[in-house]
Amino acid sequence: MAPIGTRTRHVDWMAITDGSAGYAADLRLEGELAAAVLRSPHPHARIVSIDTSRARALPGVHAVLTAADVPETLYLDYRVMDRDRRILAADVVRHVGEPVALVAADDAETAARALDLIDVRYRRLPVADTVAKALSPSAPAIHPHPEERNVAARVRRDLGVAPQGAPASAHSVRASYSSTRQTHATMEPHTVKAYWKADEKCLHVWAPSQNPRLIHRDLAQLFGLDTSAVRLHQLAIGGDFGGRTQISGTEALVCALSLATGRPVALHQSRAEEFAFTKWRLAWDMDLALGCDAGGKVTTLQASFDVDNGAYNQAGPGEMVYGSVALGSSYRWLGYQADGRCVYTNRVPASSFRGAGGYAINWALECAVDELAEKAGIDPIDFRLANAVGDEHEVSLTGWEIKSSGLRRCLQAVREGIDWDARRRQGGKGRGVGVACTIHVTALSRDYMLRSSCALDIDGRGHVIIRSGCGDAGTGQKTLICQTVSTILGVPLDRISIVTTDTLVTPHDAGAGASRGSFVAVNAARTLASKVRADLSAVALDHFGIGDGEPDWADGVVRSGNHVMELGELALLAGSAQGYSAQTEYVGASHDPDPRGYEDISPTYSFAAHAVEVEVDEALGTVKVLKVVAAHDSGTILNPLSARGQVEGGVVMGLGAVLGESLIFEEGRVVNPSYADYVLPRPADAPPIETIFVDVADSVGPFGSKGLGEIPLITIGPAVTNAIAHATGLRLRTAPHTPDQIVTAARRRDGKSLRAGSIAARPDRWWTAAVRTAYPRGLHKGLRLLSERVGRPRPAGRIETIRPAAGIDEALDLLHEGGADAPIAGGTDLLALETQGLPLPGRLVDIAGLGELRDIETRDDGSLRIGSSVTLADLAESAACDPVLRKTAALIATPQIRQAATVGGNLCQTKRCWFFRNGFDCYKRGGATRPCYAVMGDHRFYHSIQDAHRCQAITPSDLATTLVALDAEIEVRRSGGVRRVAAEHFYEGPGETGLASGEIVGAVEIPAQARRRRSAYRKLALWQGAFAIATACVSAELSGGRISDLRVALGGVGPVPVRVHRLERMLRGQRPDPTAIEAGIAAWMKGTHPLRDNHWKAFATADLLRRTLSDVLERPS
Amino acid sequence: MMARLRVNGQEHVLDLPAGERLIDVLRDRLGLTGTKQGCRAGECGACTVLVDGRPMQACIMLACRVHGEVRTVEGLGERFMPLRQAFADEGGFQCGFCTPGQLMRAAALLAEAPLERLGDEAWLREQMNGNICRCTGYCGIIRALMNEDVRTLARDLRGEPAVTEGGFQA
Repeated sequence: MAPIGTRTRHVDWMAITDGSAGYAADLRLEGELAAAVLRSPHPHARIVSIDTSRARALPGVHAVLTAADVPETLYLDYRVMDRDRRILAADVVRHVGEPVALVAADDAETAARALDLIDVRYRRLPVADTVAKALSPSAPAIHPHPEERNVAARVRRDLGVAPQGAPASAHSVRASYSSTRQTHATMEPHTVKAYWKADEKCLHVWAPSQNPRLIHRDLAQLFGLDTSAVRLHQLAIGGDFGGRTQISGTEALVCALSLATGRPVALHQSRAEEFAFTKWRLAWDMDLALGCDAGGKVTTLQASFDVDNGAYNQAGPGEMVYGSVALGSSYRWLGYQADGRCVYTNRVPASSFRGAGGYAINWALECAVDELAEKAGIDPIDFRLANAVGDEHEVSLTGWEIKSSGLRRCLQAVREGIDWDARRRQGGKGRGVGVACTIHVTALSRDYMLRSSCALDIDGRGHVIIRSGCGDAGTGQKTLICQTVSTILGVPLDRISIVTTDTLVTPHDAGAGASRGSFVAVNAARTLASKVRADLSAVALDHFGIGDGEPDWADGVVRSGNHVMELGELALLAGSAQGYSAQTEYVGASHDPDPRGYEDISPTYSFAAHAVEVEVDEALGTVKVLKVVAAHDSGTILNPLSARGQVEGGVVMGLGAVLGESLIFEEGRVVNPSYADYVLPRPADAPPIETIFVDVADSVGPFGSKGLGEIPLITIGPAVTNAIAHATGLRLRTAPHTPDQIVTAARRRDGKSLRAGSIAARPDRWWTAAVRTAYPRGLHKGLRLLSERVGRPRPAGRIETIRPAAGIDEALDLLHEGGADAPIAGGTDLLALETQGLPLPGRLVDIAGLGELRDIETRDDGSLRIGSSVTLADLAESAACDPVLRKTAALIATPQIRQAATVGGNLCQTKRCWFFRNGFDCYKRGGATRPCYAVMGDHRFYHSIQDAHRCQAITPSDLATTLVALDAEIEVRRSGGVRRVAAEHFYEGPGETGLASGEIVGAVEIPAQARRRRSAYRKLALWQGAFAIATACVSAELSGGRISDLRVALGGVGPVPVRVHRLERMLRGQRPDPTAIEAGIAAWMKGTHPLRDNHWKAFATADLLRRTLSDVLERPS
Repeated sequence: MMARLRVNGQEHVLDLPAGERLIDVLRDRLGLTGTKQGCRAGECGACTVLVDGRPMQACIMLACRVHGEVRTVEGLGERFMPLRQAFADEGGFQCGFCTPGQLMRAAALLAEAPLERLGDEAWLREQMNGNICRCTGYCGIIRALMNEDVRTLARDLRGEPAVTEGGFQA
């Protein structure tokens, strides 16, 4: 038995943990063709012509489609007036990545080659890739239809008293907030398959989604098919979070290809495409004005906001409209006015994201309320207790009628859980606590969200098969549905199975989203099971010959007094020889949206309060979340196991949004489309989370439950921002709170300089400075346009051959004679380059297994020799290696990477500039006529602050920094020869070694003298193991209380590792004296020449260096 | 190129292009779709398999260079049922896509890590840092690793000689 309310394992736990759960990519369709999508490289352009003839002629290509070959029908959106998106671009492309043509071919490689053969001529149009540009008077009209240029939707709210009519506020806050550009980044990339079976006249589709019926309906209408002619199949779904809640684009593209070819077609989106071309959360820029009276009671709230919609509507306007109501719903305002615009920009469309528009508005509002409480001199929790909407039977200014509420209990629970009162007294010294609370909907009371059917079949053995149209992307509806049926029919869980999604056998389901998943699914299941129980009870009683009564249902048996019947028997009796089937529909009370926004918008409301403790390092800009206490009122908890998971997962996703995640755009194109550069939380960053459910059964929700899926994500962000304020006094108004923001804000608060470096006295930097000044004044644009005329970038590389070698000499001979172009050891960078479509040497010789290269040897003279094929994992664990080397290696990447990656590979890896790696045709990729995108683009973390010329990238090797500080020599081997080069001189440019053709790194050698010194290493990075923002290694010899010898190396600050000679000279012979150290660091900093936005990095590196020096010089001997 | 691959105790002789990755051999040629592709760049850990007991990412390994014993999630066997059950009981997964990679990485830890470290939550988190999860917030995964039955499994893995059939070879 697994009754509602008990901890119950996920019904698919066995398949999920033994690898047999079937996701879309795991399915193999006989004769499957591979799809490829030609996407616009421009953010805004007119399509002048498309010539597909060469692509069509390529053997192995089955179809090439353009807009002329697919229906002109628009995608559905939640509101009719929002429908503006076609399957393929016809005349105009409005964002980088917009699909222009489709190919179906025998395999992925052929499909990719076919794409290259499609000739599209574009005429560029002016670009409005930000909200500011889109709203400027000279902005191009991205769509012709809006009355207000580039405004996709407008919303105004005016509830309660007007500002003039309100009592004067004794305290007020006016502030502007900008929220993050977060993307779902589900672990499963979009993978869709379709098969138009002409003989059945049925379009079979495998498309993971937590809202399968929306996909189903939209595909049918797009292709003019009856819904019965489209069949969505059951699949395991690798996450959704709103990213697949509504049809994206991929589904229709694949269906179009299958309809054209009559063959099964599969589209596998790469991770880079996933980041770059799928939906992201709407980003809000919001101005808030709010006040309270002298007694601390809130008065009025005014808001104006602009929301970045991207180029097309994909639920954007709907989320903004909801958000504009939610904003006024959580406090007892006397008046609330809002004015908002959902703005078209030449970016990939934004869309539904966990929170339904609540995340961004709650973040801004809870931060502003916190500021208001501070001004009023009232404790933040007390302020919320006094003002937040959350009493039973209360009605908010927006018409939300509270049924049950545990809000105040949640606030009390976090107060105790984080030891609030004691910690609040200790703010301002780098540690702080913050709080936030939320109210959120459990579904919206709209017909399409609250109408759901469920069906079941019972066979002769009493086994129950439930049929639900839902799609469970991990949120747990499947298990809850089974628990519900198990509870009501008294059938053990192991006799219940469930089929979902399949439109042939499951009835319509409202899908998940707006926290309605469990509410609707459980209601549908409960309605069904209750009816089944009632109907079958009547049959049983009749069979027993009893008049009336309530039979007992338990353990798959129906009992009344001494009369007993097995459920299987009863099913055969009530049904037929095949068993018994039933289907019912749950219809929740719904109503149309109110144009003013005043309505009881949801069946019932959930509440939450989160308290967070953080530790902020103002000099490095890092924020460590020490503890989260998350208290939730979601009514009766139907499955404590999955409920806790929703809270923990939502909290961590929210931490990602507030501390690290942001899609970075440059000219409408995503710059950081990878897990390495899109900073989402990993286990080492995630804090301990205490989850508390306050037990308040709701009167409306099934079994007393309320929604839970989104509210944890909506609550945590502002709690963190408020905790940072408590720790530092800094009120941050832009998320994510990355290190650059914190360092700069702290320095500004303290009146410290925000600019590092001085080139006034450095004529050697004047030319570079002049070029940098010219970039935004036309030089960048000119170089970019020139590069488009001067040929194409170098083609992507492929690994063609790998030659084994019996020994190092054979390997070197191969390289010398031209049998191979380069060595391969761990291959971690080479294979990544191949995935990223970058050029790479295709003919390789394998040196990973060569014994001579894998030794770690301490020699008689005390020096250390490490072979170039020693893995980072082995280096990190080797007792023979110096601790500073081991630490350096242990902080590189991840355990899995370290098992493969080698010392030589780490030293030789290609630069990691995210423009270079992600398809920007820059100077280093295509030659001298091309610009460096980092000059004007986002260079805050991974670009030079000193010595850079044309290229701003840095050398990504962490080992290089430490080896420089240890006077290491790199042994370079070639056929018939060996040479040595000091680590300090190994690099000629960022990630560009001085190795000539035919040469490889054989070993690194650290002299005994260096090993006798005291050494320390520190690394600054966005996540543990990430590529470094900066590294520092200091190695010193002390004798007689003086620094007799010193090496100071910095990585990540210049094109090559920097040895800070000047600082060394200044300190050599001195006592370790803070004044001298500061003077040395200042001298170093004066020589930097940061870019526009990475001055913070010079200050942070100075502090990193200061600490590393201190590690060495203040160590007890 | 001819390659001889031992996967889950079975030997396969395959003629492969030099550039074919282990993940593609496992999924497409051997039908072992339990190993998932999240990024194909070695950045997410979803494709983690064991090679001679070491956790490595199949998406950035060239199959013809793999000379050790490969174990995928399908080959964990009954031996690791306590780990799978712990994941189920502690909320170690929701959508399940990252789960095979998590389990394989965890299996390597249980077999190789110093026993006393398995009680150190901060250390465990660092060791799992190569496996991204978007659903759980990692709490359930760490709870699973610190679960009593899983600790017993870890002790058992060290106490017994290597099992060659049907189970995991440490």
